[in-house]
Amino acid sequence: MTISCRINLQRAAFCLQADFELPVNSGVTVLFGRSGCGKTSLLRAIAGLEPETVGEIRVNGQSWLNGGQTMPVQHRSLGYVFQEASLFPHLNVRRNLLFGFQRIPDQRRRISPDELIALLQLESLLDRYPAELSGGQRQRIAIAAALLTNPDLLLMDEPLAALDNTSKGEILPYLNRLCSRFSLPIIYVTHSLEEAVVLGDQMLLMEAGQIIARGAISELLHRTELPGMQGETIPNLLDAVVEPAAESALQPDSQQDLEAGSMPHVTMRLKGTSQLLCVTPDRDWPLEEGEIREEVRLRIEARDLILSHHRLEGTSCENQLAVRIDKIAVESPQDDMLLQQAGACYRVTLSLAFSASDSLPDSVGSVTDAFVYPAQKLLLRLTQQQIHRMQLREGQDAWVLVNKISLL
Amino acid sequence: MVLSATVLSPQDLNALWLTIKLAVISTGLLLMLSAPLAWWLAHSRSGLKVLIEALVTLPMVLPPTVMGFYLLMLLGPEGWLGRALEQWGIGHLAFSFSGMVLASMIFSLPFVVPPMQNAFASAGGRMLELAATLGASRMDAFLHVVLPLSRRGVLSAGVLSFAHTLGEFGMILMIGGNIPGSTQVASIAIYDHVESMNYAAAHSLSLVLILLSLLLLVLVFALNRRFTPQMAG
Repeated sequence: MTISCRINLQRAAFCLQADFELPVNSGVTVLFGRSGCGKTSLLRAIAGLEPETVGEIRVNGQSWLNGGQTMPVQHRSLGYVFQEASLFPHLNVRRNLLFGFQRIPDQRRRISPDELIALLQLESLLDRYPAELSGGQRQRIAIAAALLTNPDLLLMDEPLAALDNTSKGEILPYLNRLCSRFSLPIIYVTHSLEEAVVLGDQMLLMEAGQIIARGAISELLHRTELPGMQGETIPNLLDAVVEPAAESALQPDSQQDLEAGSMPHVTMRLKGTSQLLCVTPDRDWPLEEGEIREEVRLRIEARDLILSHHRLEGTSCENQLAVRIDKIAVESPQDDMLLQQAGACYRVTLSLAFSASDSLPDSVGSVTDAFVYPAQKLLLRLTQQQIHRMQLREGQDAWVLVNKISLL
Repeated sequence: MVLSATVLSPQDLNALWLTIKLAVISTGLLLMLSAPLAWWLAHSRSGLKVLIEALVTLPMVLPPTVMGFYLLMLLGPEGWLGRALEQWGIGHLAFSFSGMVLASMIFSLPFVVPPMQNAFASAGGRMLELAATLGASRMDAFLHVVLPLSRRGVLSAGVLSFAHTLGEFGMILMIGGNIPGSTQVASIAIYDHVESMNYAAAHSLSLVLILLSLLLLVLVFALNRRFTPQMAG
């Protein structure tokens, strides 16, 4: 399934222009940008809620918009989740959930209401009315109702923005679960980098009605020249595969761990490399009994990385990765005066995947799939003194110590 | 009603029955015909909207006798509409029940359209978008979302129209005449009784109208209370 969109929409504040394609199995595409940049307008235009939209939208071989010919919203196979949890106030939760489901033909009913209700633990809410629910509960039901239309494309407009932090924490894992359970393409609008990092696979970055950058989130996060990417913290995202064979070899004490009641370690191999990481999952991971996740995403904050010339023995840090220094770039060059006083900060980009011909330590030498998988990179922040003291240069090989890893 | 049957003359009972029949039929027809108009007024951005809104409100400010007079001119055997109706074999509408229904509908228009228009406006917007994204056509959404959400507005429109028709006088007198048994309604019958100094009969009929109106309002408030818990939020 592919989604292609080439549209124009004249607004009072700006002219919305979007031209993009989402490939097969695109997962969660985050539409990211500052408030008022046109994210919501673009999402509404795709859904058909902005009648003045012109251009072309094709989803799954169906033409939703072709010049002036537009398919009515109700005929488009989409789910839409509004920012303010929108439910019908005169219907109870059960009838809200089934509203869309009852209006699709039988052969399209792949997701069954019972399964979804069980998966999202909504049983206790079925007979209540929207006015009796919390904001978080309402949004969970709105998401479930949209999913039950068995859409080809799910559009979500900042579904967490109107919620307090507790409700957000309640819904984020829920969204993650849905994304992995139903592999349907999702376009997710947000202005929160945190949500983008946790949920997204790829990103369309918008400014003033235009899409100014697109790509994998892990890549865009490192392009600090882009608006919205100059945050205090720099999240690094790495894709990894669970390594079942190495599991027992790397953790001789796993039996003891289990007896002590702590979670066992899981060994992961970074995609595109042969480097291994040892990760302690949270209590709720894997998500369900018997559910095996083979591909995972790891999150490592830049401040949890330590750079070293050598592999360190006798340290509490068990995860050490061989890297090559890709790029050393001064941070926010516009603040020259300030930097000179405080000592300049640099962003150091580290490459984790090397070409096989390079001379490397034996442990990381046998790279097999580096050429088919885009290079994974880590970013960390160093001061001028640190760079000077270590005499770091671009192209140099080094080791990075990873202090903390979270599983997404 | 048992009580009133003992005090009311057959002629008064007939007038009362005619009044209720008139109120039910004209209110029902008016609600059905006003719904599309109120829907259009609630969602249209046309420049014509202002004019239509003014026309809908006009019967509220015009003296009922003026409206009744022109309606009689229009619908009578000499009026162009009345003559056209006669040519089609329907007959003119002066001094007929149909003419009275038409008059009541025009008279109650300003009490029916605005409450429905307000209800439709607040039940539209996001709720319509939500219904569309869930696969409901416009008509489907109107019947299953907008109407249930607007039931308070529709109910109060209906009650206002009904109560208004019960008390209608000038316009009905003009178009219906005062033919006992066929076009004499309760309010006109009361006037006749007062004219002929038959105060007892006027009292009985008035009392019945008061009780009827009170009963109606109690019913409305009870229904409104029942709708409220689900409508909140």
